[in-house]
Amino acid sequence: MTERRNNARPTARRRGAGSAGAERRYALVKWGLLAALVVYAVLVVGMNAARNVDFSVIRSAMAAAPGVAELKSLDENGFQERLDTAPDGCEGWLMVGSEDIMDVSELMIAKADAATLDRLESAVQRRLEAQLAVFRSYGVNQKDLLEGARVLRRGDYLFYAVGERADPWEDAFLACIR
Amino acid sequence: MVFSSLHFLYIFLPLVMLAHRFAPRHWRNGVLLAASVWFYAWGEPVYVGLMLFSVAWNYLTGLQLAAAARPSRKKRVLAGAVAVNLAVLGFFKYYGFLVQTLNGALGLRLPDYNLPLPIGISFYTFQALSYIIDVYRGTTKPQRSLVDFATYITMFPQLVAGPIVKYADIEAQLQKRSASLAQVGQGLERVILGLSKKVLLANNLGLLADTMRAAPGLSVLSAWLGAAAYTLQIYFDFSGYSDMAIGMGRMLGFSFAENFDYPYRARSVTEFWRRWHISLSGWFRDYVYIPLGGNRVGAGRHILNLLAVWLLTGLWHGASWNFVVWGLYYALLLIAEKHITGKALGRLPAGLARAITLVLVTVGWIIFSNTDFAAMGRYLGCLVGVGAGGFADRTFLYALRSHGLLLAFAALCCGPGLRQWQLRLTGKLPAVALAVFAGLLVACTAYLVQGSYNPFLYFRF
Repeated sequence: MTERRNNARPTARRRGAGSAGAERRYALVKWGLLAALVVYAVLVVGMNAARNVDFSVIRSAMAAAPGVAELKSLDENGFQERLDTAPDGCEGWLMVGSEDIMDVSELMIAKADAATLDRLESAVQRRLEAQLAVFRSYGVNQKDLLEGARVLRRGDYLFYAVGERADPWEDAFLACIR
Repeated sequence: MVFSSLHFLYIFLPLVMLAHRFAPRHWRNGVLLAASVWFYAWGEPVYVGLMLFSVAWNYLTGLQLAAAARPSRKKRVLAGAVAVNLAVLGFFKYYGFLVQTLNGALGLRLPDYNLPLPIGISFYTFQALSYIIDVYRGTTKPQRSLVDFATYITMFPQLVAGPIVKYADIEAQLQKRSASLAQVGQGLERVILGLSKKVLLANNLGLLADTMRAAPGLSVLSAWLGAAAYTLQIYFDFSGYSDMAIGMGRMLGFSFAENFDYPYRARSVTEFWRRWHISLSGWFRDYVYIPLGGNRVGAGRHILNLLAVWLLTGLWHGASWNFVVWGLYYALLLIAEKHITGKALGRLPAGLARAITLVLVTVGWIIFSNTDFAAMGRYLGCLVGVGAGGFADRTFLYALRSHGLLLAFAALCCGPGLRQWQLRLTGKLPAVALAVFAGLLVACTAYLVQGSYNPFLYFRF
């Protein structure tokens, strides 16, 4: 019995030392994971962040983007007509759209606080739903364009674009705020 | 990827089921893990990293808890791990809400990063928390295989909208599982049933609810009709998702616990919460309410416990004040039931008790569905005639005529009768049952071909 007990003690100690070592290793890896998480969070935030630029910079850049000049620049009434909400509370905004009712192309960018952007984003989603309901049954191209609509939130900005040139418009917008 | 999408139903799901079925047994979890990451990455490529962090962090925490010798050390490891899980959840889900609240209240200009919500973060974080707490308590052994643990956390059927599956409940199935052809058939039936609830019922009820909400000069009856439509929509939307998750689980050889038990038949709010989102209520009961003392404490402390649990339940549902109010609304109802009205409610005829509960739950959904307090107030006012455009109007009559059948059928589906009939039919006339399910699948597919993107309501959480 004595012998067995003597044998047991070092084994337990060894096991204890082993699990203490394992625990330290796990802790070390977890610290590494935490560091990776911080880097990851910074990257995600960076991807979503937007430089605070004057809205006139965005307006000029978008005016030079391909196809924008062919669309009609909309005033407040036009904005309200299409989105069923006014651009009240925006620090800056622009909206252009086609005058041809069969052409679904439109572009809207707004700079505002989060609550206003929430309101505008909901309005944009409603607009897309309404347009899809109109064109779903017979406008194959229009339906495809509407389903490929870009709706982005970056910092204080909301970007919404439908059209064959939505990609270059998005690139031009992102180039302004990065 | 959304369950109610053609891509998921006709490409992803069949491919994964075939790959899982024909893979060697020891590769099955690997197949399921790869499929789950593919599923998540489809809509959230950026946030796959966050999910994998959660997997690695909680896997290592389980091993660390097992290796820690002293109870005090175990407690520190658990506290640190829980804090990190909650910090991740807090930053990615609640940061914007906190900043907006602070900026609004204190006039600060703290930056709001407008981060999109990582889909399913509340669900997988709660699963991970249940695992590490159970390992700490010694009720669960730590999982030594990273692949098996990652499969548990990321499993696509319940990844983005639950049910919240406790590790202990599927530990054995993670090691060894099988699904006979009969089980696969039953699972498929359940998937089609859930899909039908979502596509045929919830989406159409949602259109009615939205129409009524947007109608100008809402009458009292229109307001109640809209509220009833939303009450039914959220039930069929969420229980439909749970049905699909349970069905897919069965097809893969897992047995997930039920998440709904005909909640609108509840005779009290307490009973409603035993029947609605059972996995979430169970989580809060096991990991918050009981550790706080549950109901084995004085009346004052019990009230505080209920307030704490329901404040957290409300916040869990979303980073918005209306969810906080919704949680407190239920806290007050439950406190009243447990300390004041409980016995009286128990003496009421069952039908009356059910009706009272249903009205209280319906009012709760109005709080739940309105992030704008002004709109919420207006709608609640319309229900009792304050600011309403009369008692009844043409909108109500039109909606009743156009959607009356849908509402009546949906109400019928809230009870067990139809399901029991379907199970009897499947047992006695399998060919007819097969034809019914095939018909439902065709109808859902037709709707999905025509319809627009319509995600599940609980994806927001």
